[in-house]
Amino acid sequence: MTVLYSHDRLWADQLFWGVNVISSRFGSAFHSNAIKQDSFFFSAAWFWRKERSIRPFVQLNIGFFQADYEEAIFDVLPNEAMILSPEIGVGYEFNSPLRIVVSAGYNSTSGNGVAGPGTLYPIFTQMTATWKLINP
Amino acid sequence: MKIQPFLCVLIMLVSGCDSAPDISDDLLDGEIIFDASIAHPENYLQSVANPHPSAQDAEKPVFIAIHGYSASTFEWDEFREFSADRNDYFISQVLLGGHGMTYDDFKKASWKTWQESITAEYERLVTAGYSNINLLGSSTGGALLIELLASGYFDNRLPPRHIFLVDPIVIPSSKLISIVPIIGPILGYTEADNTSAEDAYWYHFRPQESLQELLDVIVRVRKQLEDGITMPPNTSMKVYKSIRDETADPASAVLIYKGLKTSSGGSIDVAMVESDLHVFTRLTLRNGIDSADLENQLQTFKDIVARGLN
Repeated sequence: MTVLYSHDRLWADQLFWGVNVISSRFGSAFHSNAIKQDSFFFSAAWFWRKERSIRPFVQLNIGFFQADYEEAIFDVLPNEAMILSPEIGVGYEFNSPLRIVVSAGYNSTSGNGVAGPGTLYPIFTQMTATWKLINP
Repeated sequence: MKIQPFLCVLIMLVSGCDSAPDISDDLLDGEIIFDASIAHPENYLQSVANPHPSAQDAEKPVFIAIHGYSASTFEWDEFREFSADRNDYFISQVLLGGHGMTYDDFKKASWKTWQESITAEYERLVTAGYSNINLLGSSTGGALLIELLASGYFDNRLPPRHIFLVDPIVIPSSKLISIVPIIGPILGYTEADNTSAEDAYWYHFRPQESLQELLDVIVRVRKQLEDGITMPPNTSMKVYKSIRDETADPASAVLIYKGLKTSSGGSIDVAMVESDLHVFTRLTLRNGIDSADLENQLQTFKDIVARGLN
């Protein structure tokens, strides 16, 4: 879940501040044995090509990651990490409030299971759909 | 087109770097040193040592010990040494397909070829009449055993009594392996940081083809675990996982625990071991081994045997 905000007097519709909550509980770990993972992070993104359909962007994410290993026997394993991840991608603005974004990023704090949780992979890709609620 | 120069550079890189490594005769990769089980299978495989067991011997547990990626039967030699004075169980040390021979043999083998050695010994033992078969896999050997469970290999066969996994890998510690399909053809091969003594028992050079096979089987098993795997009736499993293993991510144990259930829906057993070694049951040729490592090995061997005899 992502909420983005662009101030009308601060590079409106170009600089976006975001609050993001991403959980595998509603994705790969839904009805699956995949390890449950949750991320909470703030983001700042810069979108080029204002008022155009195809808009490349860069983003920086800062936040917190946690893997839920569920059983006490696994408490000896690291399961939490800070998130610091640059991201790059492109968005497509429809003739509606809908925007679809595809992106790839790099988790600079990914772990090997000894120093940091091993389920936080260094490279990630994602697709995000946002719906504009308020016009600046 | 603009892309043409890039493609040319890429092709040059691929064709220029994918050459065979310089393999000396003191490496397992070469033409001189081979796994000892190839020349003397009777010393390693129970099916060859005694293909016609007495009724009494046929009922004794047989532990099929399976090594990991790029390793050899040496990985389980210490379990055989631990068992030297025992006559109440047997050990079969299986050499994975494509392993223990030349670099080219390793390069050509798929993970299914690696796995075929396990099933071949299993079937020879069953045909010979052995009725208490146990599986003991380390690292990739563990992943190959989980794959056999998931693919239904045991559905119409005598099921194993117990399965033991030591530092199984389903999540690699180095996440770079996930980009081997992209950079592998450019690299051609990678080098392991073995000691010179270990180079006689582990491949020094790892062809990118073999790394891709490793990735394929790891990803496959991970998906199988996420979907859920039920073991055959009356088969138990225990996983022993080093908590600071920098090769097989310790979270591998979490996914195996979540993904594997007994036939009655129960959980498997897991022991998280205070160790920073990968395959902590192999201590020979390692540097810096301490008393805690020796104790971990001893207690694990004892536990495996006790469960196997139970």
